[in-house]
Amino acid sequence: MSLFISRLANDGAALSDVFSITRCDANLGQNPVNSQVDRIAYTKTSSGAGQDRIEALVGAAGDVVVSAFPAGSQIPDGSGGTVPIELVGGATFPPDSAGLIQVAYCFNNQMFAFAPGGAQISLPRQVILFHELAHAFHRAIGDFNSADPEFQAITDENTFRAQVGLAARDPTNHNGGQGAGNGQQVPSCTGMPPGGGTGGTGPSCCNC
Amino acid sequence: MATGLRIDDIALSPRRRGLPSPLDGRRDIWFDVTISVHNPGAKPLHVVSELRGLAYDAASKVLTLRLAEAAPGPTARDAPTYTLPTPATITVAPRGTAKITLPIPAILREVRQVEGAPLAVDETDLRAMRRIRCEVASSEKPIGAQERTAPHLMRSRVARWGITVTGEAAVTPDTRR
Repeated sequence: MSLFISRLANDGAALSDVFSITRCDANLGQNPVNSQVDRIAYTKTSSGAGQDRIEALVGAAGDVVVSAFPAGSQIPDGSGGTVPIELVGGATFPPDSAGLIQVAYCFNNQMFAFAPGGAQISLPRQVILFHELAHAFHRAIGDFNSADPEFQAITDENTFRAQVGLAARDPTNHNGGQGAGNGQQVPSCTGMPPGGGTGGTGPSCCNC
Repeated sequence: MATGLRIDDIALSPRRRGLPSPLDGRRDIWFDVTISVHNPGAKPLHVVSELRGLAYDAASKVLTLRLAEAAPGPTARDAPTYTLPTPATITVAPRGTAKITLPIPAILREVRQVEGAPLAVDETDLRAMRRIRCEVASSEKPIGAQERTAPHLMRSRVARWGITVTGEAAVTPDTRR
């Protein structure tokens, strides 16, 4: 039923990236719920893959919490160990007993993926977040493709890539790594995000 | 005749500040760990050159850096969805040496799941470490691309790839703030 941003992680980075995904839509709202999370409110004022997905998540039948972590953070790997978040870019956890779907992503690492044909392309932080939110969205609405979740998420990711003019990613190749891609970044948009985050981490205004 | 990879040295740099955060200008403290490896054999060796895992034992003050994959445990019911890239490797020429440098944060942040709440973060100051242990995998055979492999399967395959050697060294971290 809601999209939340965790204040236990870097809420400023997460808010900035959600704002960028909506292409700096001034209708994005942020409301404190408690000391741990802020709730995102959003009714889009324009259409696009980014705006459509954030609006759908805000209204989806599931609670999704976004946590932005810096490189060097270790996340559970699902096999009893941990994995550096900068190695994987991000991860989405299935609903817990309370129904919370957790999205974790790395907001300060340079990563690459592959285009159809094998060319190395950029995987900017906003795209990583959109990709993880795709997993979360499909879990929330009940059509998560557990047989091939990456094909499903990369297919969604490519709609956002098309919106912002980035090269498409090969949905049958989910390899990648740390380092430069093809130099492409999500184009900046200008606006004023809600609240600006807390803890001195949020932008007071921004070019996202 | 020894032909496998050898770890000659493990060195910890003085502390450095990371790049300023574009959001708030904050600069975290990092160290660089440089691992010097030697190939005593007659064939090139492909050596994992990126950090695949990190663990810190606060009791023994040993930081373990894994440039290798261990066979994973069973997949948990609440396992996250993520993609694990094929390990980056370098090639070390016959009788050649190479240095692998890994950035390590001063503050280790370990994320854990909490039912009904956001992901929690436990922080540990790694500047208390006294030893660094490195595990490095290598093989004469290239690791290859495994782009259609799920993380658990990839880990299982990489765990069977090559040979993992271990080295350990005493360190004295720069504790300046």
